Amino acid sequence: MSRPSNVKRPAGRNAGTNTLITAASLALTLSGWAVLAANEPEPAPPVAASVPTQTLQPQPSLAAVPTLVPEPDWASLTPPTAVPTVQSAPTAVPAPPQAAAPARPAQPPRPAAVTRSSR
Amino acid sequence: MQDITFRAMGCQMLALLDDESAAAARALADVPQWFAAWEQQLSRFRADSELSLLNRQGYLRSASPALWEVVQLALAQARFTGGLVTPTLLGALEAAGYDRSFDALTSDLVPSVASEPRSSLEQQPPLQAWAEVRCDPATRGIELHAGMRLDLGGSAKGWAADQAVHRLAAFGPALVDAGGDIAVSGPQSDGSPWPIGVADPHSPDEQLDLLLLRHGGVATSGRDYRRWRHNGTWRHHLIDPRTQQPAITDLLSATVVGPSAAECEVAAKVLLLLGSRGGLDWLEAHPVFAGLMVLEDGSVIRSSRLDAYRWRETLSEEIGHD
Repeated sequence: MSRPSNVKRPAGRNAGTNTLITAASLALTLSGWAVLAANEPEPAPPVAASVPTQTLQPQPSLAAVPTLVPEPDWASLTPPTAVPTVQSAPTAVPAPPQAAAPARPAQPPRPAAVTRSSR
Repeated sequence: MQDITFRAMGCQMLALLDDESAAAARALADVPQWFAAWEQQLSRFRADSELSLLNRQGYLRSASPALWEVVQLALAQARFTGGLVTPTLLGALEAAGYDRSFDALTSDLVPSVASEPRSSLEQQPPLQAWAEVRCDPATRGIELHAGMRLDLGGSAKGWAADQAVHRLAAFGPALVDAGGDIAVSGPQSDGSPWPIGVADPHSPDEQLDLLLLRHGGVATSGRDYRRWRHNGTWRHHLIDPRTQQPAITDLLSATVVGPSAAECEVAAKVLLLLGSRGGLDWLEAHPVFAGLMVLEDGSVIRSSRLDAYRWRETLSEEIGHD
């Protein structure tokens, strides 16, 4: 398969050979590519070929690990009616320094009883 | 906090005990029976009550301790108010149409039939009629003036609230609400006061004030609820002894804080009968009381001493003006 001439090769890779290509005429470009292809290093033999193949068996103990968090009752859960839209995170703007926030007004206690005309 | 609610004396009742013990729970469970027993003695609406017997006979040789106490309380209140709040107005109440319990009155779909004033109305005693009730402390004997009959309604409720809270106090800090007449035994177990709302008579689900009460009581009297149509006009249960008619003033309701529920109940009635101007003067002249008055136009008048009981922050916009 031919390779487009405008493909840039990574700098530094086969640097000496690239110098030769620069010096050659355009007519030799295609053949130069052929030379380059011939100079590509041989692919390393597959590692797997030299390593004995082992088939990993599932560890029985893994399946036996209890679930720490009780599974929810999926059947009882109501599926969401709409998938929440992912909002882009707002740009964090540091808050300007402020004076101490004003104290929140105290909440009135809940009445223990209510006085009203007899009923 | 444990509580119990029930109906008695024609009103909704509430008792609270700030204690989680089983003994407190048992005491609370007894409260409805206390009120039922008192009602059996003090109700004018029950023909077989002890009070009805007194009103029929005109005397009792030896009243029960409860009836004796409440009659003495009602007479003391009449003395204290110069006869303005008196138990001797039953005839006028009946003439105004309040001749059966309020529940029965409001459930009666037939409009009140115009009737001639009862003869007793024409014979109503003056402001000092209460002095005509003769009592013998040695025997608890009670004798009424000829033709006189007693109504202990408001006095009985305030007395019952005070009595019940006194009994419950043996088990922990207590609050008893007898249809709006509220007594507390002391601060809550953590030392804090009891928060008590004051209902807005113009909007009963809203509150005008939140009062913090450590001792004593608070009571509200008003003509916003217990009223009915009689002979084509609206009547209510607060009879002015000077006119023998339901009181007509600029006040819709009055709430008073003071030493006990019974005392607050009678003070609130005094305000209703005097109106806003006279009522405020009366409140300021009696340092044991503080209170607020709600006028027909929605405005609210508070006595100077009420601030000592009000929660610090305003709950909502003031209705009217101070």
